[in-house]
Amino acid sequence: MTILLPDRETARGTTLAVTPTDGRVHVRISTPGDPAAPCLRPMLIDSGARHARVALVPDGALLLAGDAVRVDVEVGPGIRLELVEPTGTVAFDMRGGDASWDVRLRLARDATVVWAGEPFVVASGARVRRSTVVDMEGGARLVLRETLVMGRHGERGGHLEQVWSAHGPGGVPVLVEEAVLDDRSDRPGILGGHRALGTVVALGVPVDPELCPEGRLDLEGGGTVWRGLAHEAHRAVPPEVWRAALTACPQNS
Amino acid sequence: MDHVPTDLLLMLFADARLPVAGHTQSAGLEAAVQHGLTSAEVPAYMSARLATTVRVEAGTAVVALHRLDHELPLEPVVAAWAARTPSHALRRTSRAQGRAMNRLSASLWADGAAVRRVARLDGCPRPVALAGAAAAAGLDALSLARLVGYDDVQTVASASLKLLPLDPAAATGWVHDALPEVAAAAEDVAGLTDPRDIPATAAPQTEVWAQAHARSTRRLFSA
Repeated sequence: MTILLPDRETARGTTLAVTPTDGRVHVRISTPGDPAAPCLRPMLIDSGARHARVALVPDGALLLAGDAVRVDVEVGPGIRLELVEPTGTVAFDMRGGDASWDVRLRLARDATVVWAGEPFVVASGARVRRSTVVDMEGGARLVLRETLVMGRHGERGGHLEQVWSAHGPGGVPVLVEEAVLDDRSDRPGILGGHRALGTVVALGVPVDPELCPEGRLDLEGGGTVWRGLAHEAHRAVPPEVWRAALTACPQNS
Repeated sequence: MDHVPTDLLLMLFADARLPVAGHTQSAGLEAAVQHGLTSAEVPAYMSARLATTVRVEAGTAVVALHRLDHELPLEPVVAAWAARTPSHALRRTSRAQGRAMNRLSASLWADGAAVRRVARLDGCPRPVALAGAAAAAGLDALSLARLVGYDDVQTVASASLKLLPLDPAAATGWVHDALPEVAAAAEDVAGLTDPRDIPATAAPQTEVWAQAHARSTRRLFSA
C-alpha cells in the first residue's frame, strides 16, 4: 500500500444511516465529536417510502491542515440514497501539515447509492490522504462521480494520496486502486500533464455496451468505470457519461 | 533437477527469443505514441510504468508464487489482479500472454505441479503464469519481481525502435538507466504474500490509451 501520510484521529465524524421503516425511510444523522471541528453535515432534502436525498454540506472551513473528514454511510436493503454536494472542495496550502478525507459506504442487499461528487481541488502546498471504501451486498448498486483537480487555475497541485476500493458479496474485490498525485504523476501514462482526473463508477448497474466508449473500462466482475483526463475540471467527467450511468440505474419510489 | 544458478534462469526467462510472442507487445507504447508521446518522453513513460502497472504485475506474480509454494488457492490472486486491472483490453492481453507462457511451461516442466495448477486456472493472467514457471524452475520471489520489471522496460525499449526513429544504443541506454528503478520496485513487492496487499497503483492515462488502442485497426502491436 502506498500510504505515506499517517492516519489522523477524527475530531468530528459524520454518520448517515438510511433504513427502511413502514411508510417512509428512516434517516439517522449524527456528527459526533468536537463541535468546533469542521465536518460534512448531512441535510435531508427529500425522502419517500424507499428513497432519500441528502446534501453533504461543509460545516466550517474545509479543507485545512489538521482536518480529518470522515463520512460513514449505511444504506438499508432496497433503499435508494442520493448524495449531492452543494459545492466542490478546495484543500488549501497546509504549510507542512496535512489533512484526510475518508468515506465509507455500506450498501445492504438491493440498496442503491447515487453520489454526484463535485470537484476536489488540491491546491499547491496541500497534502491530503483520501480514501473511499465501499462494501456492497448482493443486488446493490453504486453510481458515483469524482473529479480530482491538481491545483487551482495557474498553479501546480499539491500532494494527494488516494485509495479506492469496492468489494462485493463475500468480500470479493470489484475495484481496487491507489494513486499518488503530485509533480511525479505528470509523467506520461499517469496524468500525462493533465490537471484534472475524472472518474465515473457504475457498479451493479448494467450499462449498454455500446454507450460512451471513450475512456470506458468494463470491470471483470461486472460494472463500468469511465476515466477522463482534462486540463479543466468541468471537462474531466463528460455529461453524457454521467447521464449514461444514471440512466442505467433505475429510479424507485 | 540439478541446481541451476538464478542468474542463468533469469537470462532464460528474460530473453526476447523466448517463444512467448513478446514481439507482439509494446507495453502500451504504441498506444502512447498514437496519442502523441515523443521519443524524448519514453524514459519518463518507463519510469511511470515502474511506479504503477509494473508494481501491480510484479506484486501479483510474487503473491502467486508464495501461494504456489504453500499450496494455497490461486483464485484470490486472480481476483485481486482483476480488480486492480480495470481495463478489459489489458486483462485480455495479459491472459493471452499467460496462455503463451503456460504452453511453454507445459513443455519445459511437464511434471511440475505448479505449472499444472496455473494452467488449470480459468483465465490465467501473465504474472500468475510467470509464477508457475518460477515455481517449477526454482526462481525466488525477488528475482521474479525483477524479471517482471526488466521485461517491461525492455519491451518498451524494443517497441520504441519499431515506432520511433531512434538509435538502438539510445534505447538500450534507457533500459540501463531504468535498472535502479526496476530494482527498487522489485524490492518493494518481493516480500508480499497476501492478495489484499498487492499494489493497486493506477495509471489512468495508460488505461484510457489501452482501450482506444484495442479499438484501433492501425497497429503493429497487440498491446
